Amino acid sequence: MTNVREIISEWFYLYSNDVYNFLVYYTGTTDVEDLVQEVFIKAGRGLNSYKNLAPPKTWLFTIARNTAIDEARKIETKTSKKSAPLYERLLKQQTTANPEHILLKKEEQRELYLSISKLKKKFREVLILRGIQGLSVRETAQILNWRETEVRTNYHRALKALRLHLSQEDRK
Amino acid sequence: MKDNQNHLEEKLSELPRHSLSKSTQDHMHQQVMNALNDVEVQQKGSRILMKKIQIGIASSAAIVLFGILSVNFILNNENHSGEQEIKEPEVEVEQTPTPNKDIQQDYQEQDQKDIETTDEEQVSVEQKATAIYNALRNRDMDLLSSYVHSEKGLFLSLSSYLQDYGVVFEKSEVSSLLEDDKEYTWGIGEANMELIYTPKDYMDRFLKPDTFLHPDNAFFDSQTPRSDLHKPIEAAFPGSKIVEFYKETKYEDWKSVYLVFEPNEHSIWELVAIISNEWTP
Repeated sequence: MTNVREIISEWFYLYSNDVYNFLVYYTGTTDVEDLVQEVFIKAGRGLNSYKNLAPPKTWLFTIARNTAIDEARKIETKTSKKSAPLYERLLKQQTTANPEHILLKKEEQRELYLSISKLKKKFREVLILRGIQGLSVRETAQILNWRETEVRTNYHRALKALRLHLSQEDRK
Repeated sequence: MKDNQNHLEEKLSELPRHSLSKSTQDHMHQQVMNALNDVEVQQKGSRILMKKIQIGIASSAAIVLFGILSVNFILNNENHSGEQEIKEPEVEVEQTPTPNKDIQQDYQEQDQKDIETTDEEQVSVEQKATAIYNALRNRDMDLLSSYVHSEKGLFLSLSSYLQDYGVVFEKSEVSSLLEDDKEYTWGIGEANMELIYTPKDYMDRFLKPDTFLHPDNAFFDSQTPRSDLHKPIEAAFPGSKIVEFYKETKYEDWKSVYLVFEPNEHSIWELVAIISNEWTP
């Protein structure tokens, strides 16, 4: 803990792309540079409380997820202030991801991501962390604050739900 | 079916990786470093304070030792010949804060008692925790104070700032805690703002009954996935028993409130701390 900036600087070059990639899939937009910056600033300010309980990457992903949720909540509050009807708000809340903005060139991949973004939040999160980011069960459990068994079962169920969704899309 | 699953997993892992351009990364890095300029200064400040405290503790310990040695020395001298009286050490002995000695003795006694938990103790701590939860929910401060450790008082704190902030209230002060309008610093919040609240405001912000727990979500000395989060508390309260009340909210972020118990001189477990923890990093 000799120098906060040195540690964060090192982490930034090691993990900023991972954090960026995660936030792109988590939010559905490539416009997440501000969020990435916020993650590392928060990490620097909170380094005192870090205490090496989790690997830095896992900790940064936890902060990234919280920051994204916070951001979505702010947006939600703003929209609800404009007195949108409840069902519209619920609709927005259901999926924070906006697949229109994500850069996926292949049609098949776009469909896949679109299907993921339509699943419930729990499934979306575990698919993004385990499936797309390739994190281990343990890492995913730490980030989502779940038990490892919960990660395994939810991942399994999420894959099943995704497969079902994709096959329904195919039939349309 | 299995093949199908593997195929889908393969497709997920093949989704393209997005990355920042080198120039964007460098620019962002600079912004982050600029934003963290002030953090450095603050940390240095707190280190200096810590040093001062350490020096303070070291010197008071030295005074105690010196005092004890000189008492022995004087007593020995009196036994033999009292010619070479040294006056200064006598003054030091009087100045020696007696509570320190008491605390030292307490710790020794506690060590000797060797904190080993029986099932009965476990049950009694669990029952107390539930009663304390209800006292907190009803803001029944008289009832709360009855569970507070008679010598150590009640430490209120936020988990992230356990080491640097937090306030100890004596057992007798707990009953009237809600009327205490003095403001205390509890930690550092977003944008480096100090979290300054009166005890009542602190309780309304961090111990609001509907934001922490459902009694069903209590873990007694738990080995839960969040046990790692207990470690700083265990380190701060060695030999204690920790009861965690945990609540997940609508956004799947979470909040925990820890009740920390330590045995009193009669080996009865009493409440020494209420520590709040939530997802905000």
